[in-house]
Amino acid sequence: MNIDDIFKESLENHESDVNPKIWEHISGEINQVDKSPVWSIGFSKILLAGIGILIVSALCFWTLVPPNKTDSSNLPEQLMDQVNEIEVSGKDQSVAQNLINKKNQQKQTTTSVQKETKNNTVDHVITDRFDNQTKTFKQQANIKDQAYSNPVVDNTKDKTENRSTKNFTQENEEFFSNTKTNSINLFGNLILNKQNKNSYVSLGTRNHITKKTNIKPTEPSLIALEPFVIKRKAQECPSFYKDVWVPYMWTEYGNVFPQRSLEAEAGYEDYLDLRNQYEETQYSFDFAAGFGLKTPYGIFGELGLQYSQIQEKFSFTDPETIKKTQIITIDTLFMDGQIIANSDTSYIDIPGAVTIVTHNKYKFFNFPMMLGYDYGINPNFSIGVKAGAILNFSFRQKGRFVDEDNTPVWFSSSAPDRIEAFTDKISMSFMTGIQATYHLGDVMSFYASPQIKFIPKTITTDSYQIKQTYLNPALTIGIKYSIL
Amino acid sequence: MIEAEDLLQEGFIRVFKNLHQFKFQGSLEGWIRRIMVHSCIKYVTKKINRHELVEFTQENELVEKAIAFSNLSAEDLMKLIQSLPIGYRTVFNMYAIEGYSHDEISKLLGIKPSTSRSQLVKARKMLQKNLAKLQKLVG
Repeated sequence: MNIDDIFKESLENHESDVNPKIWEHISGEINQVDKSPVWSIGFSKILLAGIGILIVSALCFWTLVPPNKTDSSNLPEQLMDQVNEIEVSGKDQSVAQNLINKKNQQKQTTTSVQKETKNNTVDHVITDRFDNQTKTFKQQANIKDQAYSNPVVDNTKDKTENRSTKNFTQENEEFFSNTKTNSINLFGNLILNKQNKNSYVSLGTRNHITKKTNIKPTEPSLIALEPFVIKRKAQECPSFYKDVWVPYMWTEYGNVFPQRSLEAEAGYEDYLDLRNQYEETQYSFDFAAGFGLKTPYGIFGELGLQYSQIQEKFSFTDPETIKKTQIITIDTLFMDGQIIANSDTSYIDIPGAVTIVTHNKYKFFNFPMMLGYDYGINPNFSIGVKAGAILNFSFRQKGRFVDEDNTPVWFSSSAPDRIEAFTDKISMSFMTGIQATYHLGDVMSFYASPQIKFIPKTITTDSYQIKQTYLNPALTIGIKYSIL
Repeated sequence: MIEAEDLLQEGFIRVFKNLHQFKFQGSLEGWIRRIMVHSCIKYVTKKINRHELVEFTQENELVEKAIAFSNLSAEDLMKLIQSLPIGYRTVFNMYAIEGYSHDEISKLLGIKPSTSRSQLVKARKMLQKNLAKLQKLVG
């Protein structure tokens, strides 16, 4: 029996007495672990909860904010309460002015007329923001002219509006018959306002008609709509800030600031420390393009294709490497008035002076599937939230790290003697973010979006001892372009 | 002894923290043992003075003498091991008690396999010498 066997036999199953206080300490430490802060619950659960909250919030918001619709059952009263502003052409302004003059000549009792027109170059545009009001306006005008057997010549191409007018005729004849024309004119206000450097003719009234009389109007009012040739520019064109369906293309670029998380299997904590010691994440990026669809309610969905690249720097100073450095010594002597120079060359070895630097690249092809909600602050600007899942296909990882022996090794898929730490694989990640959108026009929008992208599953192989996941904040900018 | 207790505590805390990683493949005892051993190795590799691990250029295998140790208790043997320098003690424990090979020891401790062998030889020498002394004392 050799000495190894003697010790092994005696000590292999030997149990030493342990101070009971140790168990108390362990118990105390474990309790502290149980009371660890919220982030120990796991980012995946927090992130999923966050996405859920965002989606629920968006749905609530959508439910609580009704779309801008006109209730046709209460048109006259609504019309009185609304401030109707319609842009008309320069030609139409002169017509409007004629109407004002005519109105003054007829000395009809009405409300004030204001004129502040300075700029005659006005686009032939009616923003859809006021579609409902415009529609109502024309309906009322038609109704009124019908009452006086003076049909309106409606030059607009929107035949549906004429049809809808009939629906209101009967109902509003009573209204008009009960309107005291001499004191209150339904469309008595013709207001010329200057707004946003353009001239507007605002039709409608700020007055509230609350009293109805039995006096029937005796003559047509100035409100005959005939002169108002209302022209619409791109009336049917979907716009990102209108309550319509908008199919669109999008493309974006993201500046990614990856936050890596390594988790070691039990017993490999030292190896994890080595990985963290020599590797650091760096600025990364992704870019994507795809299609989206915005609903009239502000909710939008997007599908696309994305390329993503996470970049890290591996920097390893090998203590066993030796760098040879040349030292040249020149001695200069003066001898008998002459300069005698003597040079000597020597080499010294500097250990640990060689540093290996490799830029590791983790590449992904992603298929993002997004759902979001956009809330229009004004016609030019909106804010929103979005969240979704991303199908990741990781491929051709390239780079180096240290193995358990603290030796630099390649893990690139093309390296012949590589460590099998990464492989092509499919996984799922999640993202959420907010976005601010500036509408450059009816068909194009520019947006900036701070986002968080979470890759909960390790990108390493199952057999590799270190799990490698990411939580990547990103700042993304992009463009949406309406297809129609 | 205090160090051992600290390591025991640290090892068990690591066990509980990583309990979710136990996949019920193999015995729980083996898994805990592995964590404990790694905890100790981590401690030792930090503390160990590498200059203590002097490499033998030529290995001198001991001609071990058969000595009757039947009257020595496990506690006595433990004390003998604890009397070894940390480098000797670590390699001897890993090789003789835990059953690691020299290649495994070299990887775990970050030393060369030849260094592991030389440390083992030195540990054996010292243990044998101390054992003989103890044997005389015990009688």
